[in-house]
Amino acid sequence: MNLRIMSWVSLFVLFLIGTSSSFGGLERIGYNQGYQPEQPIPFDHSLHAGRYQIPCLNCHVQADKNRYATVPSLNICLNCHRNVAIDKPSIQKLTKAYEKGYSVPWLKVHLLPDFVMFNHQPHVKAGVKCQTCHGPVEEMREVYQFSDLSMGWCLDCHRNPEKARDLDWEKKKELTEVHRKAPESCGTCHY
Amino acid sequence: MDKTVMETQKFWRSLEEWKDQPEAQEWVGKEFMSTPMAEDSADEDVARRDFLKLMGASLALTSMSCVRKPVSKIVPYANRPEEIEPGKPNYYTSSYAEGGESYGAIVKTREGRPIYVKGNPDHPFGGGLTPRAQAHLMNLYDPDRLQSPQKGDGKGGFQNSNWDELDDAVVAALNGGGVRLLTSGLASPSLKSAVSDFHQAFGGKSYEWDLVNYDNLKLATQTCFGKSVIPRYQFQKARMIVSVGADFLGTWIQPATYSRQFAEGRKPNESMNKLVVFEGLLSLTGANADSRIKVRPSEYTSIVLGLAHEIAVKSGRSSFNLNSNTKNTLSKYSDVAAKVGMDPALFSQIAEDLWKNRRQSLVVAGGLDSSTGTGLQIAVHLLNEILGNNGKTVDISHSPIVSFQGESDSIQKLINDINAGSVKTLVIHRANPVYAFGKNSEIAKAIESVPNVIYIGDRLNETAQFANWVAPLSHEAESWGDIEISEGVFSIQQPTIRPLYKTRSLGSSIMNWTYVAEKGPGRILNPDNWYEYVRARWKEKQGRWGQSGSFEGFWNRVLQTGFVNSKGSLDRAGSSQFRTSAVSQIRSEVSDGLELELYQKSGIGSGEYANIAWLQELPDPVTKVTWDNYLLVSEKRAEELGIEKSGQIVKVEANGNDVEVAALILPGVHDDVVGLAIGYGRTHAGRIANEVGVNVAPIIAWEGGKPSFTFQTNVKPTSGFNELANPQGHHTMMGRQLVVEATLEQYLNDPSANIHKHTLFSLWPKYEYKGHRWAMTIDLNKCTGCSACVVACQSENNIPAVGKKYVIEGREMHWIRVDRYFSGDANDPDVLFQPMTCQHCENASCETVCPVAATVHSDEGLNEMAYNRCVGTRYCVNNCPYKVRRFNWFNYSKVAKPLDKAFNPDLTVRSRGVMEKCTFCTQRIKYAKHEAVREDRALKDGDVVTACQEACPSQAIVFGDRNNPETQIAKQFSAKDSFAVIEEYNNVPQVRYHTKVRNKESLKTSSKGGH
Repeated sequence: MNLRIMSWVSLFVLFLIGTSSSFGGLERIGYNQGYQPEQPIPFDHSLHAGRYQIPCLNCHVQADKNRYATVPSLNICLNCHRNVAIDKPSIQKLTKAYEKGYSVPWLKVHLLPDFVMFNHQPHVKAGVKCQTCHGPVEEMREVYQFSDLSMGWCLDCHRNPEKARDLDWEKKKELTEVHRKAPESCGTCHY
Repeated sequence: MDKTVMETQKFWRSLEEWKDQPEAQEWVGKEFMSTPMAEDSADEDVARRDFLKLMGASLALTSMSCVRKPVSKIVPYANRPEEIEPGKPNYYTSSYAEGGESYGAIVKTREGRPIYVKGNPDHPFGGGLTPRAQAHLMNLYDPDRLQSPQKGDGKGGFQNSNWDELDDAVVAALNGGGVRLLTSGLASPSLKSAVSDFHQAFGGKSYEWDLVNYDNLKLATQTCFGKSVIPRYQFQKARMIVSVGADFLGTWIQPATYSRQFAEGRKPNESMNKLVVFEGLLSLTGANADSRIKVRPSEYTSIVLGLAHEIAVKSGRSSFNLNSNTKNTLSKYSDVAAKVGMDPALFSQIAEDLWKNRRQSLVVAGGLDSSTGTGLQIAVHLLNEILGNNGKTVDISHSPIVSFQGESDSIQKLINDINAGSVKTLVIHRANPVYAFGKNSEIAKAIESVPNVIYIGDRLNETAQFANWVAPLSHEAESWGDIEISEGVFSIQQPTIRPLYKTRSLGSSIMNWTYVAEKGPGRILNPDNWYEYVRARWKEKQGRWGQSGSFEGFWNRVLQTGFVNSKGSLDRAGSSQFRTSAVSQIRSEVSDGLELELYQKSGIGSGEYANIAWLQELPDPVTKVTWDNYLLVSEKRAEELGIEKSGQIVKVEANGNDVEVAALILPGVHDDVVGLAIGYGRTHAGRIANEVGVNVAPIIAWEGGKPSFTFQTNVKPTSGFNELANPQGHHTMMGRQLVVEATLEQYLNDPSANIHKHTLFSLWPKYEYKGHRWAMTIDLNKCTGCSACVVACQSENNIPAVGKKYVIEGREMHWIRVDRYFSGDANDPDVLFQPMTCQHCENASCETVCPVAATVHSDEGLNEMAYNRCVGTRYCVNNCPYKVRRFNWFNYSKVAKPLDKAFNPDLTVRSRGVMEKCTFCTQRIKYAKHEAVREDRALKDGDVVTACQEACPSQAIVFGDRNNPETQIAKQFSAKDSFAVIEEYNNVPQVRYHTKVRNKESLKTSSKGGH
């Protein structure tokens, strides 16, 4: 019988904790918006993408052709940093890791639950700008989660695809049905 | 429509159902065989579920305050290999070989991990795979695999060691002389030459042995044609096929290849083939027969000779000049039909049909080897020669099968060798004779008496227990290799992952030992590694195979295509002069008593891969039982023996020994024959296989230094009982029209014959599908029931095995099952197979009852499951008329490491408490769409291939977009011979079936009323 009493007690205590701490802003809970972890190497997007105008796809090479945009492998960093800024301690750390065959354990900023199958490629191919979801990365010294990445937020664009599209891109490209479609069925992301 | 057939033909799924026993009624009413309320832990005061309910509520509240998600990391490659794009699969050609059964395969890898195997469609022995070939990749991730070299005390005690220590010890032993090597059959030419280098270095000789070998057939071919090979049969060319005990669709020689060929000739038109099967048990081939005649195994030879007599002597016709001796021999078989108790007119008709289709008929025979087997095979060669089939449907000289290198008398020779005291060091590779013949057998005692035993294998199996050193063996996916499948057709075995543990291939071990000993020819001492050695062998032969150009170019071509064919078109067949003298070697002894035929199950086979849970849980195609072997016995014989019901333990006595095993009463088994599967009762295979089923080793007969798998037996019932896990009683669909069968004549008159048509109307507007509309058809006429689709689906969709206990409780997780139906009466039924998976109904009954809208209809016609939404009410299961939804009762996804590496990362690994079912491989649809977008084009037919479709050796499954009129599916879906299961429900399934056509006069009917 102990078990039953214990469960009721714990239920009551947790109820108190739950209601007190989560009052207000219920809809934002659990979405991680604004999450900005400290990275092992202070990589500065505002410098690379902002000041030097390096296109996103230069480093995130797969974003237009694969499910993962991928954090660049170290050899991509070293394409430039063999020669550039080699006196900086962070770059030396990076070079050392590369030469030893180690990697850098970056902290993942945009976390989706396991049951969401997000794929970068169709979005990029359909002319959605990186900034639409990731925010003004070119101004971020340290990347944070810009959008709340909730299902409602996804559906908002899927219901009004033109909202998310880069207009220049639409002019440039002849859009076929495959590009235009933003499906809304559950199986689009959940399978 | 043939009304009489409709009225009397009744399909039934189990004996219980046929007899209307209460068990069957119970199964009909229940989806799951147990209630969740009575779980194991219910012995506590508070039922576990109550506790969970309370805890669940509290958790929901606490989680509101925990905003932060767990930290997760992204660790990119330091230096990304060029060919790897994270998130995108790579495919490599490779081969699968077990014993001699070999197929060309394609291995799918994700981020460097092999996760899925399919047949290589361009390979002469590819196309489809058997369930075992599909599943063998799991052995790579088997947690019970050896991870480092072991030092043994020869009595079963082991301690971890390392390669340096092992190499030193092994080389010291090898240098001492008296070396013998026992390997499983070496189909690899490179390994063969490495083994000969090994003997050049250390002396001694080797024996090749496999439990399943086709020695009788090789010997017979040697006697008749002077060439010790297995003929390459070409079922696709045969219009009349007679199989005498050979289960060529299930387990015999190259079943997946034969299934494809057989299905090719199975198109329902004027030239549709006809399959006649004589057999004692009910095999998969027998289940597919147009005409099946029950005979005893000891009568096989006389059946074949009887047919020869009918044609050559009685009717005096032959494509081959028979001498009088042969005619005299045949004359002894003039009254075979009467002797075996079959209708002589039918027997003559079969002979007549064979002759009518001479040069395009085919006779095959034999299961596992028996003492009379060679004679049987000679008789078959003779009959094929009389029919003029040799050189047409039977290829003996052009490119016969040479991959079966194991010889059945090797074990006896080795025993003699050891007993003569000439063996000091015995190296055993892969072969497991101690399991095959038992730990009290002569071979076990002989191995125990050898001073140095070195075992090369992937686990500490029964034979390895006697080893002083165990060298862990790499999986095929970790090592280079090659296979000569048929003469001149070489298949490459390409590794797809670096060895997970400290393991080596046989070739690599031999190279190391010759290197340490500094002995042997230069070709083995010089190369850096085994890969270089294999390449050097291929380079030597490049010219001989007629492959021009540079070696690198040739090698790259081989890696891309997966094989080299140096023989030209494999459609050709050749033969040589038949030696009539062979006929004098035929022995035929018909016995009276009860005969036991040992056979292979298509899942487990000889038991080498028994530790793969998928194979243990694969319902046997014919009996549908999982996780066990059992004594197959007919209903009448069971009654005579006093066996009350399936599951009762019986004592099987033979050859001075006995085993106790559960009986299974199966319709269609000969009354004087009982059957028992080999491959079970492992004791040292691993946590999955150990103690599953019963090892038949003690009762195997030995004659003339060879094991024989068919012999006399005595069966006595005991009071014990072992409930068999048979899911076929589950998920029954309550006797509506589920399968449609027609004779060829009916079909040719009207392809829609026997299909029950219903007038359907609906109050609701229909769905509109503007884009794609996915649909599937399954051709019951091509489907042989082999169940390769079941395993492929498991591999693709991360479907767990649940274990015997839960199969009994109806909790099996397979998304696709192959239903087996009988028609006719229990004594001699016809068998039908029907793969059943989610029908993706347009008016799906599951969708309307889901209280949380977790299962919904997509705009492309898919019935989708949002796992994260499902709360597990199971209303949908309850409402699904096809019984295809599966509830995940446990956290099966928490598998032992490293099995999790085999998961397909493209779809969710479901956890406890959610409903799941076939998704039409929606991840593959997604992948194909994304590929199309990437290439800026529209989807085309054939872009999306489901796992079951890919696996199907007989190509019975077609999948695609119905909305595109150009696709194959659009044409098939509305074909006249297609029907939907229980159409009258107006569920409008998006899976349709094609009628099963039987090439015979009339269908089996039942005395009991039907539909």
